[in-house]
Amino acid sequence: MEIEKILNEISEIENEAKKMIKEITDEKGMEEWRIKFLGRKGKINSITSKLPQIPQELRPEIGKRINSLKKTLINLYNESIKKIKKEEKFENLSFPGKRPKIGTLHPLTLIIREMTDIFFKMGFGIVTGPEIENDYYNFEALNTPEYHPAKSFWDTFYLNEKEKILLRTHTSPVQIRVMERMKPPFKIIAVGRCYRRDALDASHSPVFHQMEGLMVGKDIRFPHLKGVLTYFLHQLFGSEIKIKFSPSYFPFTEPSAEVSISCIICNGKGCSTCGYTGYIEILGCGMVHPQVFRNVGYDPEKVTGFAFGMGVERIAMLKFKIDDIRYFYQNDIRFLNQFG
Amino acid sequence: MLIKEYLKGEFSRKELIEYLDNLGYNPLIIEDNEDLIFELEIPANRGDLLSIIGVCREILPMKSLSLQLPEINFEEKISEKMDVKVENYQDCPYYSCRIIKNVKVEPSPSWLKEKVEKMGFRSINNLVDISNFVTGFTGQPIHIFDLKKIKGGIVVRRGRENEEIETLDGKIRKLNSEILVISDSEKPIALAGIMGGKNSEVDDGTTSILIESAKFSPVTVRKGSKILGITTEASLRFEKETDIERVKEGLEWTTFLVKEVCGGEIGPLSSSGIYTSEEKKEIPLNINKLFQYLGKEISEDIITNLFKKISFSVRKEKNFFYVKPPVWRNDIKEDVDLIEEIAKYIGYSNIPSEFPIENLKPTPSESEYKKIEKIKDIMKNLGFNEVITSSLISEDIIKLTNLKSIPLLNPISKNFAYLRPSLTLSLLETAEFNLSKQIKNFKIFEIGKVYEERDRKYSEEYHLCLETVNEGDFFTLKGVVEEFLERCGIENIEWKKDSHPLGEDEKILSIFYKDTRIGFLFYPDEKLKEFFDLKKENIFIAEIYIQKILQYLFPKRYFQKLPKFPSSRRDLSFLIPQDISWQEIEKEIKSLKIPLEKIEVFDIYRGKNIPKDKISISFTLIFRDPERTLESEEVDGYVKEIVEVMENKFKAVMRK
Repeated sequence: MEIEKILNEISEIENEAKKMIKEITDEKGMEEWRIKFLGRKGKINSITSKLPQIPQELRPEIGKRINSLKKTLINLYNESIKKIKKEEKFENLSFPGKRPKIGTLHPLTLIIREMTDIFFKMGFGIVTGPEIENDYYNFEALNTPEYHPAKSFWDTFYLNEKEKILLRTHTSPVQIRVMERMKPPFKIIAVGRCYRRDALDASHSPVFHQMEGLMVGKDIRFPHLKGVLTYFLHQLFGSEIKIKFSPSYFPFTEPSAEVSISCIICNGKGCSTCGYTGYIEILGCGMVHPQVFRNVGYDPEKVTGFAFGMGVERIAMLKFKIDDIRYFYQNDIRFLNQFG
Repeated sequence: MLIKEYLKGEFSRKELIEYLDNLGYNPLIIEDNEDLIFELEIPANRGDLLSIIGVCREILPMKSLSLQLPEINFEEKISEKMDVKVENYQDCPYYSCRIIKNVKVEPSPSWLKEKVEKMGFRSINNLVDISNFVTGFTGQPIHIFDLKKIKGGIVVRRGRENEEIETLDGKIRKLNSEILVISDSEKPIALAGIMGGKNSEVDDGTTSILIESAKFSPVTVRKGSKILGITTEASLRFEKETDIERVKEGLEWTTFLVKEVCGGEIGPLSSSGIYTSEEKKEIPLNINKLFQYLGKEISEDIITNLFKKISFSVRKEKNFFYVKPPVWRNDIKEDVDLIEEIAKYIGYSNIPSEFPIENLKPTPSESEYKKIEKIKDIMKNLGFNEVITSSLISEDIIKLTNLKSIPLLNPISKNFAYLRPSLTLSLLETAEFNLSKQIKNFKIFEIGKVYEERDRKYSEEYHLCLETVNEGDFFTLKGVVEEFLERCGIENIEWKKDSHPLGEDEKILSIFYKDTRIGFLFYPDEKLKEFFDLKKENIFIAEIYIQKILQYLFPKRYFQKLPKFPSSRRDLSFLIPQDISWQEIEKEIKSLKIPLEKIEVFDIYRGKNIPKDKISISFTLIFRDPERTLESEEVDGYVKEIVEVMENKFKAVMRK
């Protein structure tokens, strides 16, 4: 074998290796390059295996050349791989994150929780009752006279006229059911769906929610009613609001009161929400009527109590500034996503 | 402000409005220019306030006002009397009337016209205006007939089947025995307490009249007004019960005004029924109870004066006030009614606020309610939006599904005609609504009641319904159900192929727990999807009968010691026939007596390189012995057992 040829081969390998490595951009390419030149069956090994074919006196010189090439290639490899690894590590952090999805609770659930939590802190317990009721629990036991407008066929949905099965028009029947099975003293709240024969519009819905409360015990008095409800309304709407109790009429309470708060939209200055009165009616309440106690077998000379009820949608509309009751039942996902 | 005329004492408009507001009548000012005109909200039990006199009496305690009513007087000049017969005094306890002859019907004088218009009536002629004025002024509805149109005497009786009357509004009303009428000897001439008849109407040619003032039973009038669907100024007042004093007052005022305005010769009073005084009973009011209720003491003078101002008689004996309300106060029945009167006039704002510290012990909540709230939290964490939909659904939907549902007897519209038997329908409707707003991918849930009637027994139960719309496949929702139930403490459920009226055949699974079906998971039926315009959408539904399992949800949890020794993991892949149930495989493997902690599928594949009737399934096995570290050879042995089961029982071929 001619010495010239082998020297040429050595420099060709060097040139080829240097040329190739410049174009490599990833680790996979580098590995292929390493195998091609420095691998077991690589070009360096293959040329080393040709050494015996050349004259002995020239072998050390050629061997040195091959070794030096090998070192050069190893250095080249190490440098390039370092550079490539560094390049591959680079990340553009400006792209948007990958978001996990979390659900939401309906605004009515949120407001109900906010309301019930205030009463839980005052030691009230929550109870439930059926939506399909009868005349006794919905009206009669609650002392509702025949002439009361709510009793009319035009305001109440009936399922069975003969047996007077109806959809409850308020959560107050729960009061009767609770008193029938519990012994005073107690304090409860009840929340749930109610039904009235109202056509659906921006402020009426045939299906709506109410929250009801009842506290019965010895010497419960009107000031207690005021104290508990004032605390509740301040917690719910902020301690800066003004609260007004005025006389009202409900068949199941006496004395009865209607509670208004200073309008939270206009701060009492007068706007369309409060009908330019500065006040918004928020709930009805009163001292439990003695006849109601008699109906459930309590002695009104021994126990007294107060009760209250309010519309949940109305409160949610005020708190979240929602101007149409229909949003609650349409469940537009964009609407739902605005709340927790 | 008509009332000012009848009140003695000075007060400003502002004072009046504030006073009425504090009494709870929510005055709404209609006009505040030359005159002050306002509307009041009158409570359902205060029929007596449906009159000018009533409102005047109510505000007498304000600045110590007193009533000043004009003196009314007239002389009877003729002796002609109307024959009156009342068939049933329960329907009409007292009926009175009077003939006036030679009256002149003409437009009202301006003072009368102005008064009735301010009361909210349209001025018609002097006679009609007088009857409206007296109705609004005294609260006693008055009716005036044209005398010459009445044949024979007046009979107050029930209507007869096949009888008809054309009322003043020009409508023909069919009568029946529930409806009380005023009739002459031939025909009905008015609906008692509701509306007059055309056949006896006063017109321009009227010269002689009959004035009617009566007390009708509230129940009878209410029934008649309900059957006929008419509410009038008269029926409204009769329904809330009038008092007999007002019957007399009304007739006298009308007679007087007719004489003053229309002239004529007045005949004597004719009546039927007994003019019994309806004097109320004395109600004892314990002073301590009053102070206790209101949380403050009030001077006895204030109380006595207040009662006197509003025409209640009052005397004090020992610790009691004995109070007698005036005849028109039908709402005052027991001591608490008197307490409210006091509270009303001293002002609710003057009653203190207190916290009921005697009653601090908390009342426990129903566990059912709290569990439902917890369920909502879990579903939210699983990425679902909570929805609340109407429990009343449309007739069209019910007709389409043939589901047994409870109809409302008196729905307001076809859209809210039935109580829903399933939540699935509500959620499909919600999907339709959102898709119509170009919202294409979402996951929603509702927890609410469904309703059922069986043998006239009504029941309502909570269901939980989940729906994915273009969010993952069937197994995405199946996984959610599994994760949800496990989070609630429900383990070892079973899935079974089943059928469901709202699901697509062959694509329905039911969920069993403790051998009870607790819900379904399905592809919604194509017919339903078409109805809701969801044909192109990828929708899956799960409806869980949450009420059935509420008692098992959220069992008390106690800490379990964490494992001390490491686990060993092996992954296996098999080709199995496509119709083999994974549940069977899992059951079989779990029944082996080996320390297998967990088995979990991580890949299911069919398609390229897999025979058509086969599925490739890969799962992870976790082995652990609580007492020691497992040797590698032991684990290999367990794996071999599993492979044998797979090969022998399920015709599986292991993939290498």
